[in-house]
Amino acid sequence: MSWIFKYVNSSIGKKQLMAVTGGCLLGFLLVHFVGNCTLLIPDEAARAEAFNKVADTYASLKFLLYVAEAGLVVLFGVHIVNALRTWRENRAARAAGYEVQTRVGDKSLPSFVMIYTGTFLLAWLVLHILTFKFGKGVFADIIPHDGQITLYDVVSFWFSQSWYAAIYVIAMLCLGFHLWHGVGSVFQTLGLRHPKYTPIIEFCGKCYAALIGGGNAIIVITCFLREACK
Amino acid sequence: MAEKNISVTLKVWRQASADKPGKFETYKVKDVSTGSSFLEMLDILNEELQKEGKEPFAFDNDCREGICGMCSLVINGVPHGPGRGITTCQLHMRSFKDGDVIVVEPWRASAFPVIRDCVVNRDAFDRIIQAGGFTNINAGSAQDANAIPIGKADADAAMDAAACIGCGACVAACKNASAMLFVSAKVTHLARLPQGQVEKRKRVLAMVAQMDKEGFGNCTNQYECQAACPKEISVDCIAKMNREYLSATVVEPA
Ligand code: HEM
Ligand code: SF4
Ligand code: FES
Repeated sequence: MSWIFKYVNSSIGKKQLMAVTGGCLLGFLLVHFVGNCTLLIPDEAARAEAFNKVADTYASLKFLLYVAEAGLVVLFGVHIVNALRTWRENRAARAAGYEVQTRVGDKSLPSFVMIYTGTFLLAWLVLHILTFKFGKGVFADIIPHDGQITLYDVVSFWFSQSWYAAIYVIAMLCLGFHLWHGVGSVFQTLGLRHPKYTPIIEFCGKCYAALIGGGNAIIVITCFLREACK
Repeated sequence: MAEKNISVTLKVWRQASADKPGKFETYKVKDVSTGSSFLEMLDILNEELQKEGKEPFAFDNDCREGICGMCSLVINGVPHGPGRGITTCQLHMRSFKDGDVIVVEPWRASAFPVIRDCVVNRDAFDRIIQAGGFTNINAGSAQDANAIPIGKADADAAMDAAACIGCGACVAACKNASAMLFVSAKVTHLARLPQGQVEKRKRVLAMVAQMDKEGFGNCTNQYECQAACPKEISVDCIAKMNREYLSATVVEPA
């Protein structure tokens, strides 16, 4: 068993745990994003129906939903714990800094701010879950659009609040940043590098980051403007 | 190219010993030929300092032809200074202009403590090599050169990785002071060849364990190391080591 401890405490092991958990979260994000796209349907009744149908489909999974939620908690937990461990160690490894530091590589800004975009996402995640999962009519008076309060009503209400929508848009920019570096990084960390495929993977990773970050942000802005222009 | 003489201002890190605080000192070096190397310029500085009865500036160097890995120095924020694929000893003053201010600092890493001025202790690299950067082969008489066929692609990749001179610029360039490029160059060099494959799993586990013990940081895939490396070692090596480490963890019996 000691080999497991050795692995999870090694520098490469920690990074690979982050890569695998981050990679699984990428899959989850894509499914989540596809569901969110129903919010772009122009006709209100059809939009509400489609969105609620997605929500109901998840709810109908019952026991499986709990398993999936527990899985997500573990993925986030392992990712975050190892992110904090490596971040602390990395700061200690360069205790004294440079007077002048000139970057010679070609890595972009997102790769330098992973811990900050990640931390903002964590804070946002708390808000997201409080309001959308546990907050049905708890934190605010939500007017149902027909009869009973549905998840669609909750979402429309919160996205009509400018401060709330603003936090979301910032969070989605953070997500786009995080994934801009993160997706390609997963493959490198797991050793999946090849002269033919790596450039394709890097390119697709950036497209994915732009799609998920930008796409979700557009959905939030659309919902906000729709309510604001009513 | 016609050489001329320039004058530069140096801001160099001076530190009497590991346990004393250091600080930057400013010196002027006048009328140095652009044809002289950066280290020759520092030699001129040291002659001046000695004439003035001051302590000369300590910096590492040995071969002065880019093969030994002794020279270091972060020059204007870049390990081994401006220019790709060269060591500090291969840097010439023609890379600078008259009147330039040049900031000279040591490799900064907790695993490379300062010994004096810009000389740092790189024993950590030696201990990583001692942990597994070799092959155990009974050295009899040399066998026929063609007895073990090695494909060109493997031979080339092994040669490229073997070009590492162990200077530590990769650690100096990395924001996490990670030694992944150095260690992976050694792992790749040996794992690519049949002689090294025999012990490849034990080797990667032992070398990574020692690397972590020395207090180098964790790689965050920014590839500054590759850009700063005087031997242009590629981060392909790091990917290979990540792969080898994972499979060794899974497969190796102990
Ligand atoms: C929306 C959820 C998230 C997703 C999809 C995600 C995804 C990823 C991915 C794919 C990576 C690359 C792994 C690798 O380097 O191989 C990564 C790295 C990282 N993540 Fe996340 N992450 C998320 C949330 C977080 C959170 C909440 C934190 C909180 C602190 C965080 C901090 C980090 C850090 C520090 C890194 C390492 C950066 C580096 O190697 O430079 N992430 N993430
Ligand atoms: S990998 Fe390059 S920078 Fe690092 S020690 Fe080897 S030669 Fe120096
Ligand atoms: S002094 Fe030997 S490589 Fe520079």
